[in-house]
Amino acid sequence: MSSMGTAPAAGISQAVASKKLGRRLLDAGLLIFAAVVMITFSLTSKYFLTPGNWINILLSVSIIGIIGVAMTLVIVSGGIDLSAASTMALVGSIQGVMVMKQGHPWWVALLVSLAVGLIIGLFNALVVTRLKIAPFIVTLAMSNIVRGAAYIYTTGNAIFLQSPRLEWFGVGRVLGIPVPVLLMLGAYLGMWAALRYTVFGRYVYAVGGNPVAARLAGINTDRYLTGVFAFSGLAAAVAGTVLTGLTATAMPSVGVGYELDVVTAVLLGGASLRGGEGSIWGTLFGVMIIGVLNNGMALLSVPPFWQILAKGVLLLGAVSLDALRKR
Amino acid sequence: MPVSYHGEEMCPVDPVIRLSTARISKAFGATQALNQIDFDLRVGEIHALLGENGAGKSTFIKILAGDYSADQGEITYDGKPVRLQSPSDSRNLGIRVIYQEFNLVPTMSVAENICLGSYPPGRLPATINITEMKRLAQEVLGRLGEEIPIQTLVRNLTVAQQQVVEIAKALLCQPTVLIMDEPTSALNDQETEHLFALLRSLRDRGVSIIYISHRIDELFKLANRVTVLRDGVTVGTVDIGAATRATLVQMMVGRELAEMYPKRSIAPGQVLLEVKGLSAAGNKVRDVSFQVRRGEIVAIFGLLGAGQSELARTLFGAIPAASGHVLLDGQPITLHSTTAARAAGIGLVPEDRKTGGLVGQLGVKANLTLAALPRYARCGMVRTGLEMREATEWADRLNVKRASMSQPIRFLSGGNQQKVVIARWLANQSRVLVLDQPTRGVDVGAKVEIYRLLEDLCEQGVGVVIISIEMPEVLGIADHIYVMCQGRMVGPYSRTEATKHKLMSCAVGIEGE
Ligand SMILES: Nc1ncnc2c1ncn2[C@@H]1O[C@H](COP(=O)(O)OP(=O)(O)OP(=O)(O)O)[C@@H](O)[C@H]1O
Ligand SMILES: [Mg+2]
Repeated sequence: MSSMGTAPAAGISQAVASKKLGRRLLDAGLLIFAAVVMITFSLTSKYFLTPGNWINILLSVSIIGIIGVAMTLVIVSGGIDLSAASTMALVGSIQGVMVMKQGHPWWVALLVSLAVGLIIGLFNALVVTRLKIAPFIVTLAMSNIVRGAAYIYTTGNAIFLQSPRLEWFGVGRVLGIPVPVLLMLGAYLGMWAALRYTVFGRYVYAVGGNPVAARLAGINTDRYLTGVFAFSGLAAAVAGTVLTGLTATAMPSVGVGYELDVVTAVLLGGASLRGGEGSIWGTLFGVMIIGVLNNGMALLSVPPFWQILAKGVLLLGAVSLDALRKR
Repeated sequence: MPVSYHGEEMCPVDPVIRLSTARISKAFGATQALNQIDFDLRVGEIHALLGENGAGKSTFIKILAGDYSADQGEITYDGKPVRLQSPSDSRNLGIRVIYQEFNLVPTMSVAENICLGSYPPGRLPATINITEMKRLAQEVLGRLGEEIPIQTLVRNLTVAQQQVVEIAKALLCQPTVLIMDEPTSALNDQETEHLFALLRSLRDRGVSIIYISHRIDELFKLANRVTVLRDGVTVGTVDIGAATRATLVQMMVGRELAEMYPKRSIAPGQVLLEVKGLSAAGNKVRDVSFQVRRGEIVAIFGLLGAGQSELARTLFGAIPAASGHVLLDGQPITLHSTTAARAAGIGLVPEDRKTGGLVGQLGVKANLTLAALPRYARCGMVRTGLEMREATEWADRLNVKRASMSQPIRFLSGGNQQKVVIARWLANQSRVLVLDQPTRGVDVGAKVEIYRLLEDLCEQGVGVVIISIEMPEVLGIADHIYVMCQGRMVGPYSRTEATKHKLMSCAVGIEGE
């Protein structure tokens, strides 16, 4: 009757067996990749495996690490926050201007700047929940608004920060461990517990997975989304504080494109942009991969243009892997 | 590919086998969904597949559709072994499947949907011959004897019309084998009759049809043979003439089933829920009044789209009310949000479990405790041990067939998913439970379980509102019946005064008899 699809039905079980093996490899793909990267770096650079270098790596990822905590939450809720990096810049600018130009005490500047981060998050949430506009668009616009505000506020100039208290958030150490690293690890532990053990975290998964079903289960989806974006704004503000402290500089132009590094990390960690999926340890893993890659490439003096290209390949590879796994 | 619609293929003496399978097996992880299935489909027959929820029916047809590949076994088409590794393999043989969930593009027109995937090429490369497309669509609809304007967007059609579009889409390429997974679960009696006439005429033209349904009674009007699956194994194949409802049920569930509709001996108590003059935004619900007593089952009957789903959603705060009052225990309540409704003790089992009921990525447990989660929490922290215990208890009580409590719910069979959505509200100890077509796609055994459950709830003083388009169900379980037609409600009729005829004439709007 038909000429197509009439190949003999042989070898089905072999095909299935090889498929299963393939899937296992896919599951382990990122781990294998990470292992290969690590081994290469440790063989080619004698600094790579030293404890000092590891603290360095952790320190270097602390900014995207902290934003990554919030971004995981946002992505699990079915959204995305592209305004995080700009918020970071505005927060630093506020601290710089308030302390150095206006002579406010450090803690006033800190509180005001954190509040601004929170308000940016709340505003994102307001537009997303009230007008039902996709978070991608809202936060993209917000990213430009906030970045513009930072330039206007500082008139485009970098400000050297001289405030030991504020700098402590970047360069301070507790028990020999840098404060940013502690903040970051604390944030991961906290978010892990929140996602797993609180009603809030559990409902964020539901809202991201199927907002209609969540609403029809009596969940106030808008309230949870508001919480999610507010947290994201606050986390960006904390990251901004750390960054300002680390560099002792408030710069309105800082961190352009960071949000994409963060999204890369979250997606590397297995989250889905469709929402409802993702884990905080996955994100930490993704953040570390990016950190190790950056660090290793720097140690091997890979030219910066190639580093950018490598990160793009990494993201594409990771999401393809994920898509293949879900087949 | 194209079938020759001639009589010569229909030989009554020695039936020609179109499609057969031998020892088909399929496992999902630890779940053995199919185990050594032997099955054959004759030329020009309607072959029904029957089985409990999770028996493996959908999995089996997905293998025939090339959607899943079998772990083992052979498939033969017209005597030749074939390998169905992708949907296109199976399409090329002339096998067409209409799934439990429709696969239409809501924002495209009827014609575009019908021809989707096989657009007639236009004169320039990579263009579509739109005139030809419309002609083709019109022609198939004509063959079906259906009048749906082909320019209408699919999202503006009723479910029954969408069903017709699905069928038209499948018939476009003159299939040899047509597979339908629970096509009547959303249709009313008339629409079902119509579909049957269609299927019979296709059969008489030599098309072989595999037909899955949980409505056993309709098989006697339609099928030639019935194959029963249980737990992934074929229990047997019988000629419909040699079968009775009782024997089929016996084969399906492996035991004799108790009375379908429980005999109720609960005297309804005080009025629990009172709805007065309720109208909803959007004009789909107009001036509706009814009441539910403690321990009473109230049914709302009506044709699909008469406003009953909107009523349910309004009661649950998902659609804002335009006017009217709702009283719970004599106290007026405002239903401005679903959260408020849940807090007031109202629960809703929505009509469409895939879009409105389930969070597919989440596990059985998370779906089951979705509404009740705050009950298991102290200061916002979930007591996971307690949650797991209670969720497991409910899942066991409702016999939810699952690999584990954390298995993603999208992997459960339709009926088992439904049980989880119902259990969600039981876990939340709702006082009023509104169920929108709760037994749609649910097997007889599970249906009886759900009815029993509603019975239990009544005994505990819960008020149950059940929305149904199935007459026997309405007449079987309700204490009082209301009927909706175009957003308005008539009734109540007590179970004794309601008749099939009366309800139907109210539903189509011929009142006053
Ligand atoms: N993709 C999947 N992954 C894991 N398990 C699955 C998957 N699909 C089906 N199953 C399991 O296989 C079994 C058979 O499911 P199937 O959907 O074929 O049942 P069914 O007979 O169609 O039931 P229903 O009448 O409820 O639609 C069930 O136990 C189900 O949980
Ligand atoms: Mg099924």
